[in-house]
Amino acid sequence: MNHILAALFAIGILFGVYTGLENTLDIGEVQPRLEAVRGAVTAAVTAPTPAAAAGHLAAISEPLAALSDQAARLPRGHTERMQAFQETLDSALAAASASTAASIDPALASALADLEARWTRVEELGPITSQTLTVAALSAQGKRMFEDTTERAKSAVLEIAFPLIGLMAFWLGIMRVAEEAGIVQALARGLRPLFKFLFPKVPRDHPANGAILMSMAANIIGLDNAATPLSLKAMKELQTLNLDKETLTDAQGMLLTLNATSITLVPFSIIGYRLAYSSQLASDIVVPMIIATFFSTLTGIVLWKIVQRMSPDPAAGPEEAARITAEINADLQREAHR
Amino acid sequence: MIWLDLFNNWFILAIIFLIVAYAWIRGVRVYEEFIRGAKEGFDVAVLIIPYLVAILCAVALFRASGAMQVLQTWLAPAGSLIGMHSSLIPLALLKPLSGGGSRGLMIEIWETEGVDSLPGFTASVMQGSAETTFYILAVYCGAVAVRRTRGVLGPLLLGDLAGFIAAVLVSRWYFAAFLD
Repeated sequence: MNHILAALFAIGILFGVYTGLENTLDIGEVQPRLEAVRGAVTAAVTAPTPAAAAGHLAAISEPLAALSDQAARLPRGHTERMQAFQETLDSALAAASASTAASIDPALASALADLEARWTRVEELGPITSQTLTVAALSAQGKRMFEDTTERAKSAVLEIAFPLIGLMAFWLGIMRVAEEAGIVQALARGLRPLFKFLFPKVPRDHPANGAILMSMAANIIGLDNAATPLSLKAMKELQTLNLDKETLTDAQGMLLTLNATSITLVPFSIIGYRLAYSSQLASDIVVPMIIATFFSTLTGIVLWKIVQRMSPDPAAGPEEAARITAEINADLQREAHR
Repeated sequence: MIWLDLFNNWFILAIIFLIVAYAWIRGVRVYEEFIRGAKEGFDVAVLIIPYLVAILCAVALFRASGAMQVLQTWLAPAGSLIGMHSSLIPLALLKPLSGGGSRGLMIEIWETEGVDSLPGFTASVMQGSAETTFYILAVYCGAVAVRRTRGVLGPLLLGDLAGFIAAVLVSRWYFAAFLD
């Protein structure tokens, strides 16, 4: 986990710098357009009639559009200079659109006055150089990355963990009822051979079997919001057989693999979305999806069976596992009698 | 189609009802047992927060860095080898990282290419045949406070890759054979 986290950060920072530089505007492209706009703005502001001013501005609509396009990729208000530059572009665009609307529009006069004031401000702040553009683009990229990262920290709690409290309570409550009625155990007996292959070190009477079964069932019927609570319950049950407590056991890795490679058979939510987009082939995705899922799950299982051999399994051996299971079941018995 | 919708909306409700009804008939004290089970939920949901924040923030940084766009251009030739439409490559890259993001991308593909076009169809198949791997890793390990994962991410991501390749090839075949 340490390596994955460090790699994600390192790659993120590296590509962040790259993307920032990539987004930098080319001064060679910006400069001529800027000159064209500067010339036309000066001419328009000093033009004798509104019609003449409109003519000057109409002539620069192309470089203006290109500049505004480029400026849109830069951060708003990063430096005073860039902000003034961008406001000037906005102002020039407003003036140009006013000039096409009607040549003697009073809006044009005020737009021109606004433009003149802003242009003077840009000139005062100094020229736009290639350095200005690079700094602005890099700064924008850094800002975006920092904001996205911290925003995610908030949403991880508010949108994932908090809703999960309610969903976990609901589905674990239902599962408890199903367990007490003997439904889970009956289903688990039927799937014993499969479980023996996937989770060889989990004793057959361990409560993890029921939890794993329920999570698989929720996955298969595409019940997304029940699958996570039930799988987490299964992880906790498997943890009772984990002697190390901080290292993943073979069985926990297998549960992770089965869930992450998805064993959904009926993707209700995607079919629902497709119907909403008036698809004529909404449920035709089921067969190709089952085939694709089969390949991803099979690949995951086989690879995990190989990878798990490369490090020791912290799970209890057969005798220890049997002892732990007997203890848990005795506890459950006592609790039931109370 | 309306029947499917009806089934979809009643199926889960029916299962829940059957479980509760059967348990009640068999003399299970359904209310007390429900409460006992539900109590566990709170601890787990709170326990996973540090793990979620660590992994999802790293993923968010990675996504915002623009690395995906670069990877996308590198991977486009490999994708076209198996007849993968270029719009599907970002979906394959995003799927293990973000559930909401990849759903948005799938809908975008539907809107630009058409929901019943081959890319739109394949996008749905890809979306349905994989999960948000990083989220699952964070939540599952977080729930039991496991820190060392023994390299399980490799099999998970390669499983996703195998699923995506299968999704593209199977969708092409299925689309040409039955739907076109």
